[in-house]
Amino acid sequence: MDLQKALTISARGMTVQTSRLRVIAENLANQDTTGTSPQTQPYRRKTITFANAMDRSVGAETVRVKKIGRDMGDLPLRYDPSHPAADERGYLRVPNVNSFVEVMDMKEAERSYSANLNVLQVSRSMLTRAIEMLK
Amino acid sequence: MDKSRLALFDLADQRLAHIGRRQELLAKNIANADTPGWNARDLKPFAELLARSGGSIAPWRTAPTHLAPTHGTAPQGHPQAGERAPDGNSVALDVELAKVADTESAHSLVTGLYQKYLAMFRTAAGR
Amino acid sequence: MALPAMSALQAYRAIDAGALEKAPAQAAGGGFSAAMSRALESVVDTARKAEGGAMQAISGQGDITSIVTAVAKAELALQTTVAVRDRVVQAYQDIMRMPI
Repeated sequence: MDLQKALTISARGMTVQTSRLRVIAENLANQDTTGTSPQTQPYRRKTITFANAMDRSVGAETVRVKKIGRDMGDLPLRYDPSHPAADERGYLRVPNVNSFVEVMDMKEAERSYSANLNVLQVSRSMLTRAIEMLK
Repeated sequence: MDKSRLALFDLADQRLAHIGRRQELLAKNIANADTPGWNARDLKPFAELLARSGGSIAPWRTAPTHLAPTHGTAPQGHPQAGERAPDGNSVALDVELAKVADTESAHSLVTGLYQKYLAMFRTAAGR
Repeated sequence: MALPAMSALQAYRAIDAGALEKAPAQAAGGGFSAAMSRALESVVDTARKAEGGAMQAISGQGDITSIVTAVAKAELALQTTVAVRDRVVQAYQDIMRMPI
């Protein structure tokens, strides 16, 4: 029973890491999405936070995505007078996405995903071995 | 029936239950490797639990009226000492994965011994 | 009539030569039964050692390699004993089947 719960827990862990990867992919895809005019806003970086909560249908505490929010920090400025979104001084706001940070985060997410997968495989092989004792 | 052999099987049952609870707790730690404030937990080693309770870990409830195990049904475990990240998370993936490997080999050993002794019983009985 | 008892004794000596002092090839009597009880004692001793080791291994202590080899030896000793038992029973049945 505990081993089966461990399977579900690891599976949920993999799911949340996948959500994290999706958020990272969105950020990277939109790192140059500026506004089309000085009034419109450029893309704002998305953030994701996890929480651990009891799931009654499983009977165990599992991790889940708590919130997908926005990074409300300052948007950087770029000097480009020819851009349609540039204001009267020639500056425009660009997305607050740092591709280096996103790539490092992606590596972390992959590492966590692999760890959860590893635990899943171990739990499954333990269950299989216990069942084989019947033979 | 040899009473001492039954003790071996009982002990193996208890160890397997302990291993299952530990695996669930380790899976929880790893799934929460990025949850803010999550503290990595682990169960006390089986030998220590044995020594404390003098031979039996938790009574097996075969009827609802039996005594409930005092340590509760979900493995809470004990917080592990370790570094905490800025968001309060203290899970180190490599440490947890090493514990998972250790749990797996212990499970393999106990089920192997279980099978071996069952087979020896069968041999002695002439099957 | 001594033949089945002799073959049982030979089978037993061949398998368990290591644990037993070389008993003289007596057909029956004190020599054989004493040798049998000695061998059984050593099998029981092996089995007890292995079981102690197995309990240790299950509790998570002890050296895995030595415990596993001890259990393997105990299994072999048990299979030997069972083989001898079966042979002895078979020899007894052969004797009993002989017309008087």
